[in-house]
Amino acid sequence: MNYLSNSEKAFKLLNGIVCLYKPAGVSLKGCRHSLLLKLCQDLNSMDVRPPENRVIISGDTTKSLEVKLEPSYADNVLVVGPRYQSKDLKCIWTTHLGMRVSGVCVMGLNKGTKMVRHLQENYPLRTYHLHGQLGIMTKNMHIDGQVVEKGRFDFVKRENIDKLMSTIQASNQKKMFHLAKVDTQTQMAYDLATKGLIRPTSSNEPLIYGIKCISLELPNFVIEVNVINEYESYLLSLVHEIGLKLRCSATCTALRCIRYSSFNINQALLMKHWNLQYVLDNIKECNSSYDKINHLSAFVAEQSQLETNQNMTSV
Amino acid sequence: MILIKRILSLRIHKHKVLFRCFCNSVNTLENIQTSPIQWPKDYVTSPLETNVTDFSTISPALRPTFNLAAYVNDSHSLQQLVKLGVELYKFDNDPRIMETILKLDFERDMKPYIRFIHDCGVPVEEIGKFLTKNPMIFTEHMDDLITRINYLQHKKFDKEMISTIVRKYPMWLSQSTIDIDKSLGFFQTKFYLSGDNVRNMVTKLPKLITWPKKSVNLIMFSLNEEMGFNRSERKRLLLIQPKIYIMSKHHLFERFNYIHNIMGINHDRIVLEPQVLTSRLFRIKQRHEYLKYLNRAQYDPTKPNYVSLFNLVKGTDLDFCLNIAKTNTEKFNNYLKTVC
Repeated sequence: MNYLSNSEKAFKLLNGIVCLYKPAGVSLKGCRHSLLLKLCQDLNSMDVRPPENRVIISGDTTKSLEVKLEPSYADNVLVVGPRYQSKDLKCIWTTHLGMRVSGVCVMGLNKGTKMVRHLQENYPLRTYHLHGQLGIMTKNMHIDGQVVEKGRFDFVKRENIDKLMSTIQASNQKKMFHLAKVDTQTQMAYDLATKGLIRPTSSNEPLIYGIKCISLELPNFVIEVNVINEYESYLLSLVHEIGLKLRCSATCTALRCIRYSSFNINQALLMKHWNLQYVLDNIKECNSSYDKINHLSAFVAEQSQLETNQNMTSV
Repeated sequence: MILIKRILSLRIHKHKVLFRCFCNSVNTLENIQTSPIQWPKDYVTSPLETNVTDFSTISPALRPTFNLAAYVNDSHSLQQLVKLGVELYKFDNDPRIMETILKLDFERDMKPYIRFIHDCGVPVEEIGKFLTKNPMIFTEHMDDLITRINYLQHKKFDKEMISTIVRKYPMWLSQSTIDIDKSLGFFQTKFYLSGDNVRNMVTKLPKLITWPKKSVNLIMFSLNEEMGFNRSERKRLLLIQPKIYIMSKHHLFERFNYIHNIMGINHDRIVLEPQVLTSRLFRIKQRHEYLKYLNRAQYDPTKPNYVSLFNLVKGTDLDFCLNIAKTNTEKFNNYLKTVC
């Protein structure tokens, strides 16, 4: 690659969205730290800026002075530290993923931080795969916790789970309209529904848009859930609640985010690929997909919300 | 007695004179007189005439600073250190090191030490690395350093061993001979080591000798009580992979737990290939799970398709996929995205 020989050019290209595959058991802060560390290492290993020159005027002041131009020691890499340090790169994540969550994690680098914030303000939809195990209950609702209860689970059938899933989805759909503060029996609710996904207006209430069981091999099951405003403990308690509703107990064995808005797991970079080459390629790909969704009308939820508010006042 | 008294009286007299000098100053608190600046005579008479005094020796004083970079352009010694490849920015966190480094003169104070380090077997390219790790070697007395090397020679370490020890662990030379002797004794008695064993262990991981005995004891306890390695097994672990004894106990136990309880490998096999205990858990986990997914997780050497534990954790992912899993890396990467 041509651009990889010059560190300044490469640094200028580090603007945009990166899609990472976050492993479970590592905090987001740790992920960011290792990403930036690796990027800086790679940048420093390339051609970096040589030390600046320094003018030295020496000699007897009564005679003509000698003027020399020498590389300044004060700007040497050995004296001031590496040219690129992890503080020099701005990096923020979109949604907070907990320690136990693995999967797609979208981060903004440098100028991409603005893009990421814009993404986050528009309440994008996330898809999770929740892996659970029936017949066991733990203290912290995850498999690594202390076991509190064990029980039978052989009576659970596919129909029971599907039925439960549809009730959860229905109740959440009702909640959607409730949060938008419209009655489901009105014209306004219909208008709102025709516009597409009814996104929440605040970020504190989790909302499920779709939930279904995609595999059931007793005692293990996998649930796919499309959700906005979720957090780790909410997903854990969701699995726990499903267990209770099925009249047995369930714990979560793994939480995996497989899609974030239009960024899916195929784009995500594995931890071993978190280096400059892969990240630059990934940024290019992610930025183009961000531009695509940015132009969609449905994406700009806030504006549509504003319009509806204005309509209401005019009425 | 008389002499002393005289000298004393002289001193007191001097003080008095000095004191009077101060008191008789022209300026008092009430009235301060301005005194004209003493210009050079010829300069005062004709300001347009060329200057004859040499000002090249006069320069502004160095100001207090937080890092060495402010002084490096003015200090010859620091410049020499930079030329050797010492990473000076690493000393900025420690004012103690900065103070000692700045007080030294390269020719007078540093040269004998650098020559000594070179004589110990550190090549020129690595001297910078050495001094970055152990800048406080300049504060040690030269005789002490010679004693420390002599001690090693007395304990029948040959020249090559000494050079590897000093290169691997520059802090070794700052440890007193008594401490080192004590801790060599500790390892020899605790693990029933022979002289050759000790020398091998020290050259493999010199850091272990100065490692806090408390944590070494903790790991020993954990290996014995929690993991169930017996005395000879613990000794073998120390000799083959001494790194285990400076690991965090938590990490060690988690790895052992995974290898022993989930992969189902008994103690004998772990002791035969203890390298597996020093590779990171996620690496072992990913590779084991992938092999299990391919039905290739066969760790019994008596059966076909045997995968040795050392080969499991050795090498890059590419090597692993080609030689052990016998698939392509793309499949492996895709598999990794389906597990957490």
